[in-house]
Amino acid sequence: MRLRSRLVGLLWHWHRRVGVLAAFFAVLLAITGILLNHSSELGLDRSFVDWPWLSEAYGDAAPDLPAFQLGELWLSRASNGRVYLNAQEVAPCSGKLVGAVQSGALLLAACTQELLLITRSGELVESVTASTGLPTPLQAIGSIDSRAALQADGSWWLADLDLMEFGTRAAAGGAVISQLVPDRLPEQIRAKIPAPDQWLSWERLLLDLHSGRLFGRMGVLWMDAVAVLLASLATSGTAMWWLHRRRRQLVPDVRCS
Amino acid sequence: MAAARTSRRLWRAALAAIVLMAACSASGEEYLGRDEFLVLAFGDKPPQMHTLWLTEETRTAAKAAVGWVPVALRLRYWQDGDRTAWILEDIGRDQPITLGIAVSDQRIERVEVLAFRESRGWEIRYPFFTSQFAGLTLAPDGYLSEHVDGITGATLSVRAVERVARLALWLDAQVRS
Repeated sequence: MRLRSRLVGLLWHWHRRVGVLAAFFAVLLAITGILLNHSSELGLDRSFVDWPWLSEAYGDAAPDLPAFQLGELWLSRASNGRVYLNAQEVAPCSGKLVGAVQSGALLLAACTQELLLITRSGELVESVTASTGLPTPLQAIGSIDSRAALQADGSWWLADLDLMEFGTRAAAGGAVISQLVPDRLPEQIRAKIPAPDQWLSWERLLLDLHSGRLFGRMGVLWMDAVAVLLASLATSGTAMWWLHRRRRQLVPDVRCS
Repeated sequence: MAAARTSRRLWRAALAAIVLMAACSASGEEYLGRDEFLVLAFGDKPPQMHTLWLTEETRTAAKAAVGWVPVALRLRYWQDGDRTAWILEDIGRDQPITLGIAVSDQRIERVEVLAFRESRGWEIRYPFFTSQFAGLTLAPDGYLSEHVDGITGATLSVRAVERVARLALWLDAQVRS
């Protein structure tokens, strides 16, 4: 009996604290979950968030879209996640645009998770991701002796764009790495790129709020932790109910005897 | 005192479990690398990589045959006799899905999801879905020879896998002819 009382006490102690900690997130998950379940009926996938500060938090640098100038051409990545050559849309590119370089007849646009090979007329030749051998996350792109080189994990790797091999580390010291500095996209080109306010739907926002992705990787980890806390609440609640029920069943027997 | 000590230990254990579970569950979106897929498709010694340029003529023919062609001008594939393997991308809802398709003797041998970037529909990576493609061929109408059961909530991702599978079969026929 004493052990059971101590166990119930301990469960109560933690159940209350965990409950208070998880309460806000439980309500948030419930509300966003219900809304997501009916997003199509509510039109949340077709209506867009008109909060510029939030778009900027998503990596939309609309007020100062970073771009790289390659001769007379400009490469930029708009807030819709697509890379543009001047005002021509090329393809989606995963992650922030970290650099661009010309390699032979091709232009290379390096995003943190993807490398795009583009012709000078704006056609996508190929896209390379971690699944196809790219070292990620990319930190920068440059050229060493006219050969494309990628920076990932703090090291520079030479890119073989025919064999799609990126496993040769650039020799440390002595090599000159040429890199382009990001610049401001000229206004006449920016004006032709679609406005960024038509991409962040309410459904996307709710999804990211529900999963914690709105706050990056830490947000996802936190929501995972909240899910574990909610599961522990269910477990401790059930355990306390069971222990309490057992006690109620035992007490009349003691009185009768 | 003993209860407080037990309580502290429990709290630490719970915290460690939360951190561990969170770290495990938040693993990346890349499920399988290129080399791992090739080992699954060809065994320990994958063949050399080949390049297929999608000319305007090829693009038009692919679109007419299977109704879809990727934006990229250049595709990579691996071939060993009657078996080819393709790594292709298609957009499900907003983000590209990277798929590895192995074709043998004009039949799909294996479908693997290499990377999935959408926030919904990731269930397509599991064998209960991908194993349905094994043995399917390209029907004369450009569709797969048999129906593939969808997944509730992952309709667009399922359609993307079907499109890519059809294209892989068509491309396989082109490079082997």
